[in-house]
Order: sequence, then structure tokens, then C-alpha cells
Amino acid sequence: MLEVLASNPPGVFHWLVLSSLLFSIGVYGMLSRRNAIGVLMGVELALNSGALNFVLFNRLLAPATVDGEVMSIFIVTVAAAEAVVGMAIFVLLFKQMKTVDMTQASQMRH
Amino acid sequence: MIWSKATGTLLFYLFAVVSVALAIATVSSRRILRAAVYLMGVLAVTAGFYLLLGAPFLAGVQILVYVGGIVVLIVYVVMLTRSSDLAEDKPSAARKSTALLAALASFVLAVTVFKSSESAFRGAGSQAATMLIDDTAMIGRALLDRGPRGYVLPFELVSLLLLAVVIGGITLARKIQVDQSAAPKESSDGGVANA
Amino acid sequence: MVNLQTSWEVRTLSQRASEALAGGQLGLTTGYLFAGLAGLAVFLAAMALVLVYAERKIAAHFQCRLGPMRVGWHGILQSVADSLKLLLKEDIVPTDADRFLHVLAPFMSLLAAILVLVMLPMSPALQVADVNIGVLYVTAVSGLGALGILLGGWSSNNKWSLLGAMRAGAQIISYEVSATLSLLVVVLFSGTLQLSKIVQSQADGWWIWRAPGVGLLAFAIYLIASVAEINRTPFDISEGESELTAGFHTEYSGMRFAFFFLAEFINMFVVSALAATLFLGGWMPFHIGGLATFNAAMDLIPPGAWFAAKSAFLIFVIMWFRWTFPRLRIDQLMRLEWKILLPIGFVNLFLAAMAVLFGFYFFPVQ
Repeated sequence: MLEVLASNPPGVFHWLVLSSLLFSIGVYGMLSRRNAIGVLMGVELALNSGALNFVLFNRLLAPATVDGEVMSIFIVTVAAAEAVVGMAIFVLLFKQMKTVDMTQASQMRH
Repeated sequence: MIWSKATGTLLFYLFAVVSVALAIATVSSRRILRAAVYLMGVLAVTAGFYLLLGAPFLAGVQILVYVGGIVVLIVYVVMLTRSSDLAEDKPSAARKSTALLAALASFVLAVTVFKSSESAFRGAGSQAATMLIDDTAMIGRALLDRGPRGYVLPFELVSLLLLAVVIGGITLARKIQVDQSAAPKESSDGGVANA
Repeated sequence: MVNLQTSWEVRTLSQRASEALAGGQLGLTTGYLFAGLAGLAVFLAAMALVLVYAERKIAAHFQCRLGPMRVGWHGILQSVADSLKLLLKEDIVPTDADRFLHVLAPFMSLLAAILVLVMLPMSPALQVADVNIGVLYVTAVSGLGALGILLGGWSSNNKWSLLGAMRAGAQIISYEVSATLSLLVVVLFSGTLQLSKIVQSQADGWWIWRAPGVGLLAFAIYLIASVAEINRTPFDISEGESELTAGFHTEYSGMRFAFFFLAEFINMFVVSALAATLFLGGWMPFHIGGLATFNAAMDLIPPGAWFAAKSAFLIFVIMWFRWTFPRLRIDQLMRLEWKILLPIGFVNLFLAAMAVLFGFYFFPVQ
């Protein structure tokens, strides 16, 4: 049992399947949610799996550098920025329409 | 040695199962605030993945920005918008199946691409190197490096983006007050100009 | 430059455990792990009992009262009796509350406090774990506490709880910025994020004096911001009794109330210990660069005692605040952070960077 675990560390394929699974779940969340905040959570999941891939390929292709990690930091930063603007818009939307249901907000005016 | 290797493998599969389960719970939970808590779980476990990949600084940043920042923000806005009362967040069957189809398609596409190009990675080492390096100083140097491999320009651009976001957030928040002070003027029929 | 006693050997508990794991001594590994966990549990309980007693006694004496006197000598067993009572109380979950989140929230608050606790270097030989991103880790993990409070307040399904939680959330997020900015000053000077190395970098003098001026200012900002972050009086609007009953934990009782309560007191210790570690030299004895005899005399006091004394002093200062300053209004609170502390913090960080750049600090390290 111990030898099996030690001699079979997770390979590239395992990592990639994991991150694409997380990405697909994020896509599902983005498309199926009606609550705008729920959609944003799906986006965060997808972004997160992208960042994970960057770090993975960093360690895989150039373990002595940190280029992939820098990319991940940029992704995290942009995700935070996007969340802030998104949340501000949702609060505004709620003040105008008394709901954050995406299917209700189909008009450019109120 | 054998123990630490085995622990690494075990942790990967444990984290993988937990993160996928939490991710599914995030997108399928009916209650939006619980979904936020599950999302926090996914993001925290991702920090665990970064530790397994030997990127401790990134793991710290992940927790700091996501758990301490974004999830708190999400919870805050859920409270402010009374989203939890949005009980009708029950997606229709058509919506659900479309989403499922898209998700499945993206997953299958990704796995097919990995399968077909797996041989390309083989030369680069079949497993991710899991040595723990001190990445803090390296990231700092890379971010402020003005050389050809440096990231000082994107770094400054991201700073600019953050500044724009701060200003944008404040503008959006202030707009409500402008609207409210303007609203009585529009609908005023008795001239209640109290501005 | 006299070479002081710089060879403090730091060996953390997790280091010992992983050494045993690498050596294949499984029994020893589990032994270390259990020792760590049991030690932590005992430490938590003892710390809470002592702090609650100290708080009540100090409060009493500030108001010319005696405080608890009945249970044991000078009421010394009062907090034991109180905690027994808390544990035996009925555990109530409000009818329409989100049960899962209601149960989860106090655990999250307590977890955040404990996760910081394990990183504190209490003495060269007593530190549970030591990571090379120490300061980043500490700031990151404390965000979890804010989440626990927010969820606790929301899931109670009570207007006062919700209002208290929203206030607490806004307050913690705001003041976290200032606290982090002042921690960065020390990181700039010591050149590392690792807590044990930060302590070792203060062998010739604590950062509060060694960094000329900026260290003292950063310490003051950190103390104010962190008192606000742990929701203690002058900044306790999130549980202001006169407005919000008890704020976010209005609906909590029994064990889970005890958890919030415990988290609050552990947080007070954590904040004081962090300030002691980063600005007051942690377990490092008081040294003056060049005075060998004086330094040798100071080295006679064990490092653990230095750490305990510094933390205890800061805890006393925080309790002192409580009986000196009246509670701030929410707008005053926000103005203090965004218009006063934050600009000062930024300027301070800039000055600190200049000081480091030009090597302008006392007792430069060789």
C-alpha cells in the first residue's frame, strides 16, 4: 500500500484532469445559475482552475523559474478586481430592480 | 522518504476529491450563502494544491485574496441584496441541461487534447516537481525586473487596473445617492425641491 | 560590533515531527503530533481562563471595585466555574436559522485564532510550526475570523445579529489594511517573512527602536488597527450592548457562544504576541548593541519568560484601552481608518523603504 502510493505520484494527466474538471464545474455554474452572484462564483471557479494550471506547467516545464506563479498572481488580482466591480454592479442592480436575478435584468433601462 | 512521498500522493487525491465535491456543491447548492462557504472551501483546498506544487507564497496569496477578500465580499453582497430570499433560484430543466452539455463538452474537449498531447509532456518529467522552493524572493524579483524576462510592465498595468477598479467601485456606489437626490425632482409635482 | 549570542537554535515541533517521519520513526511522529495537539488544547483552555479572570479583575480595579471574590482565593476559580456553567447550558439554534452555517461559524472564528497561534515563536524551543511565509500566512488566516463572524450573524436570522455582523465585517476588512501595512514595515527592515527569522533579526535591538521613528509609528498603528480588528472596546460597535443587544452572537448560547468568546480572548493574545514578536523582539532578550556585560545579564532570563512578559504587557495595554476610551461611532470609526490611519500608514511604509534603501537604522546588522 505504502509502496504503491509512494511510487505512483500524481502525473501531469491527473493534475490536468483535475483542473479541467474544476473548470467544467465552473462553466456549469456560470450557465445554470440565475442569481448573478452565483454566476460570479462559477467564474471564480473557472479562473481558479486556470491559475492552478499555470502553476502546474511552471513546475513541469521550468521548475527553477516562477513565470507561471507570476501569471497566477495576475489572475488572482484580476479576479479580485472583477469581483469588486461585479459586486458594485449587483448592489446597484438590486437598488434599481429589487432583485439580482439575471433573467429579470434583460433591459438596458428600468 | 517513502513516507513523505506517500503522504504527498495521498494528499493530492484527498484534496482532489474534496475540491471537486465542494465545487459541485458550490454550483448546485440552492442556498447562495452556503454556496459561498463551499466556494471558500474550494479556494482553500486550491491553496493546498499550491503547497503540494511547492509554491508557498502563492498559497498565502490565494488565502489572503480569495478567502479574506473575495469570499468575504461575496458574503457581504449576498447579505446586502437579500439574495437568500431569491428562492426561485431553481434553474429550469432546459437551462440545467444546456449548462450540463456545455460543461461536459468543455471537459471532454480538454481531456481529448491532453490525451493526444500527453507524449509531449513526457520528456519534461512525468510528474510535477514537488520540491519546496523559496518563491517569495523570486516572485518579487520577477515582478520588478525590467529585463526581457521581467514583468514590470504587466505589474504596473495591474496596479493601474486596481486603481481604476477602486475609482469605479466608488463611482458606482455614489451613483445611487445622485439618483436618489435626482428622483424627487423628476417626480415632484408640488415642487418639493429640498436639495 | 560585539558578537552577541546569535546562535539561537530554532527547532519547531513540526520540524521534529517531519524529521521523525523521514527517519521512519512513526511512533515518535505521532507522539510529537499528539504532544502538539494536547499542548495546544491545554494552552487554549488555560489562556482563556487566565485572560477572563485578568480582564474581570483589571476592569474591577480600574473602577475601584474588587471584582470576583467568592470562588476560591480572591475569586481565582471564578472563570473555571463560569466555563463549567457555559458548557452545561442548553445549546439553542433559532427556528428559522440556517443550521449548518450557525454551527459552522463559531468553529471558523476559533480556527482562525488557532491557526495563527501555531505559528507564534514563543521561545527558540517552543514553536509548533514555522513557515517561510509567516507574516503573509498570519494576515491571510485572520480573514477567516471575519468570515466566521459574518456567517454567524447572518445565520442567526436576527436583525441585531445581522447588523452586528455587517458592522464587524466592514470594520475588520478596513482595519486589516492598516495592520498589514504596518507589518510590512518590519518585513522591509528584517528582509524576511519568516517569524522565527524576524525574531532573530532583532538580536541587536528591537525593531520598534532600531527602525528610526517609523518602527514606533508602525507599532502604534498596528496596535490601534489590531484592537479594531479583534472588535475590542473603543471599537466594539459590532457588539455594542446599548444598541445591538450583543451583536453577532446574540443568538448563540452554551458551547458555541463559548467558542466565540474563546476566539475573542485567544485573538487578543494572538494580536499582543504578534506585536511583541514583530516589534518588541519576541523571545529575544533586551539587548543594547555593544554593551556586552549588560547583554549577558539580560541573557540570563530565559527567552520564554521574555516572550510571556512582553505579551502580557500588551494584553494589559489592550485591557487598559477598554476602560479609558469611549466607544466610537461607526462614521468616526471609518474616518479614523480611511482618512487618518491609512494615509499615515502609506507614508510610513514609504519612509521605511527609504530608510532601508539608505541603510539608515540603528545597530546595522553585519
